[in-house]
Amino acid sequence: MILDDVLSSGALPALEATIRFAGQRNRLIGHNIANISTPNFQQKDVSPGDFQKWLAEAVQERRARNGGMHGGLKLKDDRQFRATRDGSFELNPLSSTGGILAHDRNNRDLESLMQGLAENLAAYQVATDLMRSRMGTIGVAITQRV
Amino acid sequence: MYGSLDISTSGMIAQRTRLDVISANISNKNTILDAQGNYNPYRRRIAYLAAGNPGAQSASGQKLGVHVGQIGQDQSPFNLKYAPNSPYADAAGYIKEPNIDTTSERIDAMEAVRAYEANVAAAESTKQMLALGLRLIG
Amino acid sequence: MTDPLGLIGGAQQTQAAAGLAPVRRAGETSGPAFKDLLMQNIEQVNKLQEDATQAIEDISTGKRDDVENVLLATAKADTAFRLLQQVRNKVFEAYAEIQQLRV
Repeated sequence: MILDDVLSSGALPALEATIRFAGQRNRLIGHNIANISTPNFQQKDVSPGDFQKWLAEAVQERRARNGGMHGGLKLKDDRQFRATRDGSFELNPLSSTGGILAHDRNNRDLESLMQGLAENLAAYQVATDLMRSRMGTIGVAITQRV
Repeated sequence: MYGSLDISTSGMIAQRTRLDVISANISNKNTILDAQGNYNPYRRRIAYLAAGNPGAQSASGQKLGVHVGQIGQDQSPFNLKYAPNSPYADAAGYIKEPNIDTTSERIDAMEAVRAYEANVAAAESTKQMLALGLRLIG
Repeated sequence: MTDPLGLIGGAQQTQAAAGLAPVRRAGETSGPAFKDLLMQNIEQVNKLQEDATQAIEDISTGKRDDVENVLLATAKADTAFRLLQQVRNKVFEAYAEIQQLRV
């Protein structure tokens, strides 16, 4: 019990979820970019807004359940986010983002893709830095050596 | 651990293949004889791309990415040029020239280069994320 | 008539009065025993280490390709182990202190 609380203290579960989301989305956007000239290709993505709403529900539920400073997040199964065995989740992109249908029936939108790529990387960076700092604080508490 | 750059690399390879095809088209804009010397005007080639990458190393890499399905020939009609003195002219004095329009080939080339750069950016992003993730441990 | 010390009555009651309350056995507390907590902790640390090992092996053999999950699992397993290590150190320190108590 001590261990669970330590490893899921404060914002660590939310940061974990963000790191997992950003990692998977990077692959998704890479796939869209690789297929930017493929005829009949449907660009699919998961909007970060949807992810954040889904995460907010889980965070809210944890707060209501036990005050929100410890305990893991109960991630609800969603059409776009499927829970996996090891406590993680899998992205299931549904919506077609992107621009108008071009002559080769590909709804590419290169600028949005590049923006998505850059923002996703920035979010990943923020989340990993924050997580490293929180884990560092926990490490300090454990070893009692500042 | 291997295969994290499969998706972006497949994109780069596909775009470079397209660019090769476009360059061949531009060089052969006036080619009306084939390798054996027969009258056989060059047909414009097109690289058909398809999603997925059968040559990838990992199973998930095979689902994602892109590959060149085939390099086909554009079946649109040849351009007719009036050249009654040419040995290959038909009864009305026209010879068939390759169905290649340099301007649109050049624009396709620009688009292929832009797509290639986008894939390079995606690969850089992936490499950076790997490096960032490593700072979580140790 | 009240009889708080139970002096009025049979022989059994006199014996019961020898101690005012039943003696509590050493180590009994109202919550879970420390030993149980420690054993649980050890099991959890073991499980986390196993998960991390499995994750690392999977990514090395190509069964999975999501590096970030492996890194998270490894970071958690290491923190858990550090916690266990420190708990062990404290227990030993406490034991050593008690040994030195002059009775």
